Amino acid sequence: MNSFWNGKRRWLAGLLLLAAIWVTANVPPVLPIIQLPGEKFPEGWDLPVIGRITNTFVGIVVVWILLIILAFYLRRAQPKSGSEVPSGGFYGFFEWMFEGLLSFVESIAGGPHIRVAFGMFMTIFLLVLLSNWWEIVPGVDSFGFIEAHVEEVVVVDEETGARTVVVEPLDGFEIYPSVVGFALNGQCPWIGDEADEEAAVTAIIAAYGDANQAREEALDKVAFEEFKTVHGGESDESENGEPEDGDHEGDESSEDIEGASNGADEVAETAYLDAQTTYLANKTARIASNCYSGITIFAWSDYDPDFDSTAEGASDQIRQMLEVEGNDEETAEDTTDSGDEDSEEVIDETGEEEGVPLHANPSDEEDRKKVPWVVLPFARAPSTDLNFTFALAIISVVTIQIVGVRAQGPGYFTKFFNVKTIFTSPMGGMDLIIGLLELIGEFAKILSFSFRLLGNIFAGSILIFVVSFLLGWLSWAVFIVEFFVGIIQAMIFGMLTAIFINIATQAHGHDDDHEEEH
Amino acid sequence: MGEAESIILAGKAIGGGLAMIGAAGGGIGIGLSVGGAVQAMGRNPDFTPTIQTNMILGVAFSEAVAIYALVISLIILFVL
Repeated sequence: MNSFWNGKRRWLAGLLLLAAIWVTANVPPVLPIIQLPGEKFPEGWDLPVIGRITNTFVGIVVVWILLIILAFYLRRAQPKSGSEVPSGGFYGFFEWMFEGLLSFVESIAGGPHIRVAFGMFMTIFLLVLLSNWWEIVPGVDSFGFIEAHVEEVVVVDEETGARTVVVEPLDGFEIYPSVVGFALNGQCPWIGDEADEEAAVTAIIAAYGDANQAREEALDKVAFEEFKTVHGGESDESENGEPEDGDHEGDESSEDIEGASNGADEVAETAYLDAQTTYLANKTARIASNCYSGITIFAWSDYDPDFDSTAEGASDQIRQMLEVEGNDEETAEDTTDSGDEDSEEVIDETGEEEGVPLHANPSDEEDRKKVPWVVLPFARAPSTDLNFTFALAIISVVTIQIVGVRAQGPGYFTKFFNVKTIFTSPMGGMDLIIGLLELIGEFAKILSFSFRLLGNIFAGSILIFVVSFLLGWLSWAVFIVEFFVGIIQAMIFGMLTAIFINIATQAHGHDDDHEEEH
Repeated sequence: MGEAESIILAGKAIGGGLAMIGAAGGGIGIGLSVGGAVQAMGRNPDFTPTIQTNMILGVAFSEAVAIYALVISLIILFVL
């Protein structure tokens, strides 16, 4: 092995490492969305029996295929008789590894049931090793679907009447599969500057100020009219018919006041809504503030041009949501029945409608500016999914129990329910309690197995993401760490299973009380 | 970012940080087991492979407890 890296190859390796450091220092990747459960594929990609698949499932399927290929290759490359020397280098390496691990397992878990113990060890070791190593393969966790990522909504607060609208995850988004890489830098060229945001906020305040001023002017005018008619009516009260006229005029002027104030309110609200929806339509493109999306190398889509894909579509949806609340407030003031029916109809209509779906295409220049895009990776290391580690832990612990029963018969369970010494010795009850604690320990073993593997590998993948994002030029070191962590964790999982199988097959003969009887 | 969202983010950050205090126990446990192993290797150098194997076993158990704390911290930060 040492002779492989002599001469020019050494310089080439050093040059590649320096090139990697230079590239990652100048074009650092973008921090991805980190999520503990496996991300589910979009709905068009369901399998017939299994249903929605996750990207960790894709990882484990690849691991199965690799293991099956390994098995077939080893079978074919195996020498027919003991005298033949294996030809392939990989077969020789695998045989060396196999024998090394066999002697290792014999030293820690030897005994009559070494075949079962070593069988479980090797199976678990190979499966977990390939699952762990999947996280350092280039392309995993970085290539995937593009999907729209929009933050959540707070609808109008009914108690205070405050209108705070933040954009909702619009479910009408289609997901467009594409092959992407990380963005070339952390800046999103299509998201506006801080200056744009300030200008938008200023525009909102100005519009609200203008509308408010218009409203106040209208109210002042109406109040002046009312004052004129009231005082004008008093001078005519000496005659009989005219107080009625004065009252009618007063009613008209009060209606005018209401109508004018409502009109002014509507003007103010419309202006405020316009400014705010423009601001929000720009803000939706800014919400994922670190620009989680990637560049699209190749994309295809079923973009439907009939749907409204402009920012006005979003503002219409928000406007509909707000109009419901606006109608509620007005009907509280009015006493007419028609107002209630109108508000109910509007509520029913917006309840039935699903809102305006936004179909935006990530490869289109204009559409890209509307929402932030994130990458949903095609594949992820299966060990980062609690389903996989938990299932493997259950398999291990149940296998331990089965092997124990096969070795000792049903008397194996007296390890947990130890009632032999209850009546024969003064401290016999202790054995029962210790046995029950061991039973609890078996369940703790399941949790411990699963979370040890999950924690190591998932934290390792987060470490890769974060170190690549923060210190791009040091990410090669993290990959080396994860390489060894993968090996060590696979070995520990298998080793603990083998050790516990060994313990389970030993007779339960450690008590001194038993020896006194015999 | 709205007020409620800021409070939630702050709560998440505090929870994630506090949850990692449990990793101190893992560090102490690993230090004790490796210290005992190194002492034993000093007394009995011929026995080193067995001692090393048992040391790795003890380190794995102890590290698992620290990893439990890390998993809780990750769940607080990324799932809740």
